[in-house]
Amino acid sequence: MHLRKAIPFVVLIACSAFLFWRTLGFEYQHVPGRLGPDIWPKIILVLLVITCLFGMALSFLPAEEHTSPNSFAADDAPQSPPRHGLVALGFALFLMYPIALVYLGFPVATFVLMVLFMIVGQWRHPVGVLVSSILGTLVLFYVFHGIVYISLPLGTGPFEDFTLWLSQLMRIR
Amino acid sequence: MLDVLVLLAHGFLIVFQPINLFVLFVGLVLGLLVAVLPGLTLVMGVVLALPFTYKMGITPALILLTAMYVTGTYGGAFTSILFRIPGEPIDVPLLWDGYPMAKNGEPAKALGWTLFAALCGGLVAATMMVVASEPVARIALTFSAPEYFALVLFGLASVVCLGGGSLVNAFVSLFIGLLIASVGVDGTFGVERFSFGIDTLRDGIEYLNVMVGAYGLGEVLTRLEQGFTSPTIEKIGKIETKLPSFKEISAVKGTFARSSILGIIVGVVPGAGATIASFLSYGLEAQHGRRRREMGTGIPEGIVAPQAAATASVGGAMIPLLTMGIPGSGATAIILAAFMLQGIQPGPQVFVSQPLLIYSIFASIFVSLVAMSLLGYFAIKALVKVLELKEAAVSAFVVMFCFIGALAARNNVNDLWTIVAFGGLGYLFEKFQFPIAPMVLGTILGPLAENYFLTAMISAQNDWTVFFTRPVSLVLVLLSAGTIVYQIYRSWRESGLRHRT
Repeated sequence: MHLRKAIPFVVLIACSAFLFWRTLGFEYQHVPGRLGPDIWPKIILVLLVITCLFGMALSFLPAEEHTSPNSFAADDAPQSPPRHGLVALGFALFLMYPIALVYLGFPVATFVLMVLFMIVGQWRHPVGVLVSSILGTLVLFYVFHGIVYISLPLGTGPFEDFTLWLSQLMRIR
Repeated sequence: MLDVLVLLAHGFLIVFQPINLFVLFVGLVLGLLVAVLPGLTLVMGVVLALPFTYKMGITPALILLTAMYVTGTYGGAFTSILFRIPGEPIDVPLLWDGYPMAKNGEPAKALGWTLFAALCGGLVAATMMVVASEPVARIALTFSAPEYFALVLFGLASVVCLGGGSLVNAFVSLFIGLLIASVGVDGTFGVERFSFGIDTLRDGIEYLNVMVGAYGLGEVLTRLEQGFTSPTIEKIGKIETKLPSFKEISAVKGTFARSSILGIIVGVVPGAGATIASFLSYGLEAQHGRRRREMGTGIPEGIVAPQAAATASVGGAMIPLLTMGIPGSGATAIILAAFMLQGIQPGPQVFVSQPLLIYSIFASIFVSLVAMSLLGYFAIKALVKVLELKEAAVSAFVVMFCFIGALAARNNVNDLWTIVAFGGLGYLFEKFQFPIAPMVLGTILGPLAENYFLTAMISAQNDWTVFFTRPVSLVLVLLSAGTIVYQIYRSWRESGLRHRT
């Protein structure tokens, strides 16, 4: 338990040391008596390391329960056991979306992401998943491409043709 | 004072223009929906609405976000009181007396007390905001770099200390935010910092991507870990609101006055928002109220105290935002972002250069409060129906709004990688109990802090004492130090007490 609590601090100290070393290599015209662009990051990094060392020391003290007014801790709702597999799947979907967006274009990539995300989110109702994904994709495409005028990726090859066809169908210029 | 009233009247005329009235209505409905749905928080909702404002003018954009902010402090009361489902942490104290009152056969009365508290608390705070902003802005006009640096420092210290939880973790979160803000080409020297030859990093990390990723995707991942098991309601029966009588209101006037003043003060303090106002106000009533022994049994004081304070905090939080550019809460940090996206830095100068913009925001808060009450009175049953939506579907839409929000800012697909990274970081922050708010505020206020720090140092020939030799700066630095020292002392005392017991 102590080790688990200390891990973030150890990682942050290592990262801070690396970044501090990088600040030594900032290239700029040094003016004597004047602070450079490295001073602010250096101050922050030193403060971060000091805080992390303190946090690391505290993590080896006996564990204490903290309650925060910003959490739902005040409510006595039961908590389900953590499902790390779902988080990994969800995060993998997030990672795939930017890639899919470039090749499949906004409508297809969004439809696929929504369907898969709802399945990962354990909504076991195929019709509901499909209908809300199709409607959601069309509404988002129309609102953001047609009304808000955001330049959404078209995709490549046949997917680009499909996106353009859909734009014409929805009378989006 | 006459000038203020004339400007406010102009502000009302601007708000009553059809387009502004329309976005205000949309903002109110969205704010209520966000507050009702347990998977969405007020701050997250305002973040998700931000992309819609890119192509709007500054006035409708700010009216939309402000309307969401106002109603976001009220909408969750319905689900808290009727179904024991707090849409937000703000609404947790409302459970303690609102739900028992509803169970005692008076749900309409409980909703009536909430409506009264939200409307009147909000109006008192909005009036205070209008009266106090101009003088505060006039004082802020006399500030220079050391005072501004000390002010930002105080804002950051308050964020760290008032967030609850571990102080060390809050500081770590803040320093990470300040470091994120320093990535990219530095504005003063034109030097690349921490970009590692990556184009996306060379342009700097948009604070918008940090907010959308950490609050939006991070929160979705956290809830996915729980399997999207938000509480559901069996059946939405008859929902109506019964306003309290004048006699009943006069019996709780002390509670109302205390809570409204506390809400305004908590709102003004940078970093403390509606949630802290709500909890503190309930706590104050439970300790010092006339009927403190009956708190938790379903009495009006237990509803009025948290609700009046929560809504009053909105007016309070707008004062430091508009007069000094320092956000007083998570939602005002997003409103600050909306200002900056339109190329305007809120502060005393805006009162001189764009007074109509400021007063139209003021007017929109008054209109929002009244319209929110009407919506709450007449349309809440339809809005509560959103609780029947599947959380997986709602979250899929949240994810899409996050991605589109990031894409819309610069039309750059690479920004999506940034929000995914911050989504992961937001999830890890939740997992290891690091608060997100200090990181976000550090990212927003970091460039300001650095700029004021360097300017102050240059003008004082690197004399560090410049922050201690000017009275306003000294007071603010001492306040920052005092806030941190007090928090450390409190943590130490609480930990000592726990060890003894």
